[in-house]
Amino acid sequence: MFQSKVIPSFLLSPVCIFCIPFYFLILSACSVDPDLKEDAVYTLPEGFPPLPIPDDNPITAEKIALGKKLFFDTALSIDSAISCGSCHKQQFAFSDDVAVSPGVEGRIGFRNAPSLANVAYYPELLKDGGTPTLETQVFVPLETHEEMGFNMVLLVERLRKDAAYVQEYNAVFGGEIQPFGIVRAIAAYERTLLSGYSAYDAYLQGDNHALNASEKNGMQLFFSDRLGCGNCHNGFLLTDNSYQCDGYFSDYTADPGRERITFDPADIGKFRVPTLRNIALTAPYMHDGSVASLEDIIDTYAVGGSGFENQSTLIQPFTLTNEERTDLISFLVSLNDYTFISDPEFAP
Amino acid sequence: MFKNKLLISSVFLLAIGLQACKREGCTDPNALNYDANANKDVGCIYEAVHEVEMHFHPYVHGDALFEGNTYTIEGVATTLNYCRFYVSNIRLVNAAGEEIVAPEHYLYVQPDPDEYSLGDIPDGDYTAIRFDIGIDSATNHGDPSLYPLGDPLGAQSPNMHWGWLNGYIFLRIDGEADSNADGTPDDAFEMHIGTDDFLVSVEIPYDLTVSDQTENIFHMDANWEQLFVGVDLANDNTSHTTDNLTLANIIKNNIPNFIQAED
Repeated sequence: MFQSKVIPSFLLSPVCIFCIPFYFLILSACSVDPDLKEDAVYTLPEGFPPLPIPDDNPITAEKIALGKKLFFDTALSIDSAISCGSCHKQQFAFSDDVAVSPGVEGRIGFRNAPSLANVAYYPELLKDGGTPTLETQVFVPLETHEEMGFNMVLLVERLRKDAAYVQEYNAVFGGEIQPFGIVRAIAAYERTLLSGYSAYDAYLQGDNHALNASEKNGMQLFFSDRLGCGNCHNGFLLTDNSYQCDGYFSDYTADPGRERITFDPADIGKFRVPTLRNIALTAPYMHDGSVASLEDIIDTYAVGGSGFENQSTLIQPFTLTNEERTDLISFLVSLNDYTFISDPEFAP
Repeated sequence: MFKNKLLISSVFLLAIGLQACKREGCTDPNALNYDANANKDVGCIYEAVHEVEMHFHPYVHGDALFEGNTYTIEGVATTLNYCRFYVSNIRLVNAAGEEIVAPEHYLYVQPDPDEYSLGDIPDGDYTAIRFDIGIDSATNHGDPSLYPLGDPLGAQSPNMHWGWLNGYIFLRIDGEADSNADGTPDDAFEMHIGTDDFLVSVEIPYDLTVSDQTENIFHMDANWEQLFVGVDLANDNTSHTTDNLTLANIIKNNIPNFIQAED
């Protein structure tokens, strides 16, 4: 009662008189809107939600530059033969055009390199969702025997011998090179790989001529109840990020998908629903890259899938005329973002 | 004007009040003479503590284990290249049966060095030590890049972490086994045991008095041959846990016999 009318005593403390210049300093530091600052280093496509950025990895231009340098540096592989960019090529929307990209010494793993477009928005990374953040994901290609075959300790030791990296790392993160900043710099660069400039985007933004009649018809079919593609491929990335078995295959022994992470037999054959943005640029398809064409996938869905025991009930047979099939493909091609694959901002 | 006077007198009254409320005592909750009502620290008395170590002396059938050496295990010539594991959640049990949590929470145990600090432990008599082989679930699925090189939970070479599963390898044994009975161990194998279900809790009876009189060391034997009991080293010798649960479970079930108090 008595105290409530009193000015907080610390404000009256004589010590705080000396604080006044610091208050101004603090206030002026805070007056820079962090969002504004970050907008300057990446461009959010129209209609995209705010970029999810972890508290411990704010994006700066210098960090993106360091991350990009690491992304395209073959020093990340054990024999300095390949970089992240060896399998994630900008011309293919940061995916690859082979079924399974060769790792060091030509080693072949078991999964198709995914597109990195808009990876910032994925709630979990990898086709099976095994790693929770872009930061932790960096360890996977770095240390997988069939990819870069390297080791984080050895990478840090290698980079600490490189004067340019030592200087750049210190400028961005302060101190000597550690795993902390290596994974954060790469993740920061990857977060800026934003793709939202397709013909479909222009159409959504009000340009009625951005899609032709065939593409518009394909769009209607895509989101129709008859085909139901939009049941999973929805939202601004055309994926709901759920884990589904689409029944393209009848045997998932070679790669059980989500079951590798959950150990739940009901998850055998389930993979994260992929984004369909840039889908026509990212052939071949499916988790193992064994499918060459989008037509092949549509035809498999049309017969209702293989009937594998964990297949989603959303996969139901449908019929399409040849013209409708062509229109559906036209719509998928309209999801290509040619700005994204040619933007020098993303290139090494 | 009147308001200002009231304010100024209030401040003085509060200042006097605060002065009157000062109670002398020890304000550190960790001290023996901690006084919860005290607000003026006049000195604290602390329990006597001393650093306690835990040593893991590595053996195979009583012979010292050196990584890279060859031993006969389960009747099979076997070279052991990497023998590493995590110890965590370390608690000392005192004479009253209470658990004293060791300040060092995670140990990355290698054959060399084999001496690990548990931090400062209160003086007294202890009857047992409890720990886990493995890492608690929250830490297991955390972000390993948060730890600098050299930290037990930081990146290791060879790897003690699976990126694709985002979890630690609790126990790692790499080597070569003689798979065709020619006496030469040339079949490379990997036994990488992890995931939450494979954490094993261990209690080892051990009488230790922590004081300033002696070295305060828990001397343990890590008897690596015990982990292979029932393992068909020649024919079924590789598991990354999820890809060979049968072998992983054999090793898991052998862990209680793995670490023993030194004879």
